Amino acid sequence: MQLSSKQTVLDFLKDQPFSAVLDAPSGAGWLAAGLTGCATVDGIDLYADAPGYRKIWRHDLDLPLPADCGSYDLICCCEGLEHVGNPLLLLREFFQRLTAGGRVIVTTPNVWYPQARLQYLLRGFFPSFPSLVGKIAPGTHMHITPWSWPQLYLYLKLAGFTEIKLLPEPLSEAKHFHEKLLAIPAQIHSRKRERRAKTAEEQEFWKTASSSAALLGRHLVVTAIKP
Amino acid sequence: MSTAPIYEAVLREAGRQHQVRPFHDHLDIGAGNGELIRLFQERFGTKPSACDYTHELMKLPAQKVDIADLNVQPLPYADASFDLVTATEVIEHLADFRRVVREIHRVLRPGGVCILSTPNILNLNSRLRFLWFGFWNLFGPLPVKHSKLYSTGGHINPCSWFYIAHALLDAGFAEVAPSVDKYQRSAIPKLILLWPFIKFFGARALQRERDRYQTLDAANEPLVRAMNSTPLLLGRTVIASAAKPAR
Repeated sequence: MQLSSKQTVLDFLKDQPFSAVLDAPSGAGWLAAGLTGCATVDGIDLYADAPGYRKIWRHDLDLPLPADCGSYDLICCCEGLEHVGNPLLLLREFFQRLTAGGRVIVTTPNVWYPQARLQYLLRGFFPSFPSLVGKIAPGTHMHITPWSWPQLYLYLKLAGFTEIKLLPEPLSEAKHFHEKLLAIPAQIHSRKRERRAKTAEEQEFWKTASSSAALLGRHLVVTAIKP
Repeated sequence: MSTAPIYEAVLREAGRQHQVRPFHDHLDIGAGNGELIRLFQERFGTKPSACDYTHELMKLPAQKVDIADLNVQPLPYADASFDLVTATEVIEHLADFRRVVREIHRVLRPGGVCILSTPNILNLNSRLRFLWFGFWNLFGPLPVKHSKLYSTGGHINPCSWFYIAHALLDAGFAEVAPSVDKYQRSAIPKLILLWPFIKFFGARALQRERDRYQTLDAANEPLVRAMNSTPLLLGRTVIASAAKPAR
């Protein structure tokens, strides 16, 4: 996971109240290290044990969460959703394990930035979605589910979450001039939809869709609330 | 969207398979009004079973529909019950299509055949729409309000050929192959215009994957090459066929 996304998550959490956190997947344990002393942190990961967690489960996130997993007021899923074949199950599991008013944070590679769209046009694959088949070695980046702002919004809604917000991160800017040009049609389209929106929610959705974070960012950092 | 060309393409593929692996017991998932079942009976004399989320759509009077919500329930059949399973325009509605592919593998007999279809998000019209607006053809933008997952507005799972093939191979299938229902005429001029770029950048990317990243091998290279093949650049609907290896 890139440093800028980690920093965005930690900066955001500075102002949030929480005491029990689930980090899934927990990877090398950067989140537990970043939240030392702020909360008790549990972790779930397919491969790694990491220090700093109250409890850690070795578990496949394509399956329902472990039965003895507790309830939390914050669940972080950083760079995990693109690896699972059943993302809706995972988000629904998060929803169930959150207390009312609890928050989920999801970070994942964004396939909406112009260079990714251009690569898709020419190759049919997105960047960071390698064409691996068969048994994958532990830790290999087998990304199988690509995410954009609308797709992630849709799945969070289907899982029951509200107040879905996209957090801008430092890399939410075009790296090359041609990316700025390529983003223009989508920006115009989203702004048009924003103007025509019939509800405040729809308006907010399209406003976010036209933002730099959605259109130009290399990573999505999204938060949502369990009502 | 007209389903007649899709059914025709599925029957064509089934006909090809029938020459090698004759089938009799046929399961149609997402059977709808039963038209595909009727066509299979007519052409191949199959014994049909139908599975769907409702029986209200079925128009064949004698056809029983087994109800299952495939997002959460397994297929309501015993292991190794069928020679052929079809699922036309179903997987784009499913949040967990990989589990359903594993279920299809379970209910097929060894040597049985699976044929799936879904909107082809690799055709040039779809790729260009994604480039300009961020949405593929037939995939949104979905209504912000909670939509019914069974309607066209319920296309929640855009899946390209490679990931369909990946799921089929992962589930234990072999002989995975793509075809399409029909070419979109409006995509032809775009292909002529973009052909040199697609060929050049495609070849460069393939070379890099093979030499630098070492993510290509004999198993996945044909699947990757198919991503930029003429049928997938022009086809409206992708038809994926696969066989469960005989014991």
